[in-house]
Amino acid sequence: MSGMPVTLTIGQLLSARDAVGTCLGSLGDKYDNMVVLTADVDVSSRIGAFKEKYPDRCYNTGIAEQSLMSVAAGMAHEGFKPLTFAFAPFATMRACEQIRTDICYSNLPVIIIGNGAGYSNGISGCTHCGLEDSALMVACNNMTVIEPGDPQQIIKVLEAAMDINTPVYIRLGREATASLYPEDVEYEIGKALIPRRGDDGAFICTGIMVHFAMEAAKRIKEDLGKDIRVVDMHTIKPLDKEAIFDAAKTGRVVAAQDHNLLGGLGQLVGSAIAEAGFACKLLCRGCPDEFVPIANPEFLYARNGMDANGLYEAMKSLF
Amino acid sequence: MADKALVRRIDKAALDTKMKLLDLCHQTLIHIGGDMSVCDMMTAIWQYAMNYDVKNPRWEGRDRFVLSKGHAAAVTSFSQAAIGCYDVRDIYKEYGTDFGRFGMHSCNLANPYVDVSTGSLGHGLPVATGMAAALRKKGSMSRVFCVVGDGECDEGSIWESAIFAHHYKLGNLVVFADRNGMSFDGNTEDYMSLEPFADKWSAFGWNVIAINGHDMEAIIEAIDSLPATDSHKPTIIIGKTVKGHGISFMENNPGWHAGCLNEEDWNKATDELTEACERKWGVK
Repeated sequence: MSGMPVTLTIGQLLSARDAVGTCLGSLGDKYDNMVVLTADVDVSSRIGAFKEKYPDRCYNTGIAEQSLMSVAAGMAHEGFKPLTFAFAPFATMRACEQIRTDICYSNLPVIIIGNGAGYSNGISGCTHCGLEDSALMVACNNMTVIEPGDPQQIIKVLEAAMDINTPVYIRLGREATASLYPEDVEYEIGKALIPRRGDDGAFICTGIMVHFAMEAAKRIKEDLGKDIRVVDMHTIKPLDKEAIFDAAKTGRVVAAQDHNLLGGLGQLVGSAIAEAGFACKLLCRGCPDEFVPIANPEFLYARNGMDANGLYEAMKSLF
Repeated sequence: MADKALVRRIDKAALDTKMKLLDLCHQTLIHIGGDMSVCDMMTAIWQYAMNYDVKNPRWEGRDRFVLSKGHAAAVTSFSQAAIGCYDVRDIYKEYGTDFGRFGMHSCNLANPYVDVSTGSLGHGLPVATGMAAALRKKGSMSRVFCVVGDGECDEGSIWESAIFAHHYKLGNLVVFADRNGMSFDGNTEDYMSLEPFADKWSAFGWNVIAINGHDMEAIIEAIDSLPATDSHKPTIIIGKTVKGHGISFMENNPGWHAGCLNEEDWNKATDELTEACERKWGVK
């Protein structure tokens, strides 16, 4: 799979939605049946450049996520490949049934990009936090669910998502993150990436949690001399079970996702390990079963043991 | 004025479909009330309005059909069978069977004559607007025909579509509204009033045609009066209809939203239809 003609260097800071916006134009060059639909979030979704290049391939349904998903379904029925943009909670909860019934039931090639995954939008309050989106989308038949770990991946994710020709949900956090991989890293939907090797334990994470796990693993090496693997489980469905089994063989797994614990990555990982019959210590980190007042993501990550320090402590406790 | 022979032919086809619906309703549970109310318009859609090739349901040049009131699947299937999409006997054989093509709601997984799977209300019209926008983008001269129920218009998603179709000037979108005045629980005006129904659509910028949805001549004339496919206003044909139309004990009776006819009721219903047919056409 060829990379997009956008150059990003390891360590370069770029927010996920900026990365998407940057590559939409070239994606549109490659896929002439691609259309972009938003629900009054053209600006915050960064589709400006694409719109300037292809104004007649952009649709805006207004603040109407249900219409957004159904219109996308109708266009996909007619041979187009719609990319839809909305905030994660509005896309997946307000329009959950439209996604499930209008898009997934007919297995249509619609890519749904949800911004504000997990606590990343905490400063806007719980209305704008995608705390349940992963669970809801995983439960929709035919849906592929992706949460990329870095901007370099996003470009490849979008190409891969265009090519599989079935429904794809991509959840994105808002914060700027550094790239984890060299530009030529091979990206495949359903195949986890391993940005850090180690056999004494493993973090299995998605999105921003991968970065926190990298930091935690580095500190554990420094403090305890243990080598902790970091598994970037960028595809939540279908899960890369082989990567999970390999991680379980280390005997210690900490799974973390910026999402509610219930229905989140940790439960999927735990169930895969249990079904396969591996004996393995497992801790899950994510958002607890509560709504919280408006708060900064860093505060919420720290409060719930999801930041680098929390993940460090979780893994340390397994030794 | 619509051609009399044409009106007569389609009207008789509608009566034939109503009789078949009663037979199916004798065999199993169907949404007979809403099937009967929309039957005349549904027949006209498939016999007259749609540009369609029964041998090639995926023909790109076809008009599209979306059954937004997805529970009217039986009347849709019979109307399609009447133009040759299926052998009508297959509907009786397969209705509600495992992986069969026919059932309570339209499903495209096993049936190539269904473009869009429906059943959950307020979904069909939104998808139809997306199809209409897509056809516009492709430069296609095909129309999208969509049948909505009136109770379904309680759903907010219907009105999201109404503003979308107006904003994107989808003159290739034609909605038939089955204004039978009833939802599951009873009269719409008692439970969740929709009037002034036509004015609402006008206010949303639609071209509104209000007719008696059981008057075949009026239905044909409404179809004849549709604006050009490349015009800029979506059209809604609001057919005032009667739920359970033509069967005395079903008409306006919420108990017959869905049901199965026992032997006695089936006899009574078929007798009534036969008599109505004789009165209208002088023949059985």
